[in-house]
Amino acid sequence: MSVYYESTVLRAGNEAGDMVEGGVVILYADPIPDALESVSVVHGPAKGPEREIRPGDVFSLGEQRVELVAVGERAHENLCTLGHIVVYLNPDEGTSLLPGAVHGRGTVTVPAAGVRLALSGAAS
Amino acid sequence: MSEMETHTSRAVFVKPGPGGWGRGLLLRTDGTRTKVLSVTGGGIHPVAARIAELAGAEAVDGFTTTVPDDQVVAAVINCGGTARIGVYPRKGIPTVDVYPGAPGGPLAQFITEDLFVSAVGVDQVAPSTTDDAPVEEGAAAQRPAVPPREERPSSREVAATVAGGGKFGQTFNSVTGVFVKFGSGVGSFVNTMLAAGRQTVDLTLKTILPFMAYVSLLLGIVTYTGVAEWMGRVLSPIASNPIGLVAISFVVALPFLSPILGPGAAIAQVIGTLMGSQIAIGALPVQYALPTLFAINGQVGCDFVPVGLALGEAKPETVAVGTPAVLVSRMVTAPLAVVIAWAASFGL
Repeated sequence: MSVYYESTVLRAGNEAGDMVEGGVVILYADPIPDALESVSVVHGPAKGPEREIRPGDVFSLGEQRVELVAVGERAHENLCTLGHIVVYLNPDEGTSLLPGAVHGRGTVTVPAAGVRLALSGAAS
Repeated sequence: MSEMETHTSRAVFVKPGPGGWGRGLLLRTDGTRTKVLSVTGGGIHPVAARIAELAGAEAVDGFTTTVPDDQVVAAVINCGGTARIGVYPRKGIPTVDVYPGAPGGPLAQFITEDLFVSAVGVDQVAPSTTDDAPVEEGAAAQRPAVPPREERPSSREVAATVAGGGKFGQTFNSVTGVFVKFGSGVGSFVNTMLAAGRQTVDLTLKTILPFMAYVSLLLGIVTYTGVAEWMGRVLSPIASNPIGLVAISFVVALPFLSPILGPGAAIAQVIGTLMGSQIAIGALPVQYALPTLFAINGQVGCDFVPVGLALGEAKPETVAVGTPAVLVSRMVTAPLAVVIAWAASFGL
């Protein structure tokens, strides 16, 4: 398992908690429009991902780990351009995979500022 | 009101592209709304630039510039379906998705046809041809009107873009026309079914379940206080003669009693059991069965009237008038039903 994307959480919007409770984590890199700020976890990546996201990779937020089971077709592009990715946690069977989303298994709580965020997987 | 300033306020109509969602949005600038927000990353998206150019607005990059909501004409997004697609409609800002997105994600409820259109390319942005609506300030200007019929692309226009003219084009069109007709027939059928399902779930969640919760509460109160049970015991002695039955039916149908006697059917249980056992042991003639049934059920449905009306999507005024109308008419029809049942029981 090697880390191919790494970043630090800067802040979480005031509604990010509701979103996470609802099983959706919305990540955006700084800078971010105010409208999106409230529902998002804002982070500051040092650089873009070294390879594309694949099912089977692990998304970690501090000590919390989420195993990705499905990856939307536009997730990688969003991550590269905006540091934006939407992680659906334990979606019900049959939940359709939106293009910008990834589905994963695991639990996440809203991260505090300074928490390390990473994507890791088999080396490319 | 329309302010006569120097800036030109031109309406722009944005229609959904192929595979897109929505009916199209009519966008315009006004005194305060002068900016088209491009929330696509990588600078100003061509669609945002085009809308701004036609509407006489300014396109700004939402990721680098902060614009107060009340200055935004529209937001242009390239959303994969969760965040941006919902947050801007939630603020009442008309939202244009350059990808063919449809309402989804946690904020799906805010994504409506008056605020969202998708699969929009530069070609889908055009000056509005019917620009006679007065520009209004404030909230009214936030909700773009449904485009007039002539601005919605007709299926023929769409079909005409598929293949060019010429002999081959015509033949091609006539052959594919059959498939297109069949396809859109199937499509509209599926859509209807889907919409029906969506409405059913909506109604269940927003009307039926809350009503069930309210009835449970009422049931709890009625059962806990024992008011209906007590009434049943008070009324049961007079149940053994026809005049008494008519009186019972009148009492249970009193408009201030019937809604609380409906849930739980305590009266029906108490008197019904009593009369049933009396008839069974032969203490009462069997002719009493039918009138009693009507007498103890005068209140049935009185608790459900407002909800039934709401389920039928009645207006609040209709509910306000309809509920008392049903409750008061019950006072007449319930005793009448007992009398008719009584008459029908002769010869049993």
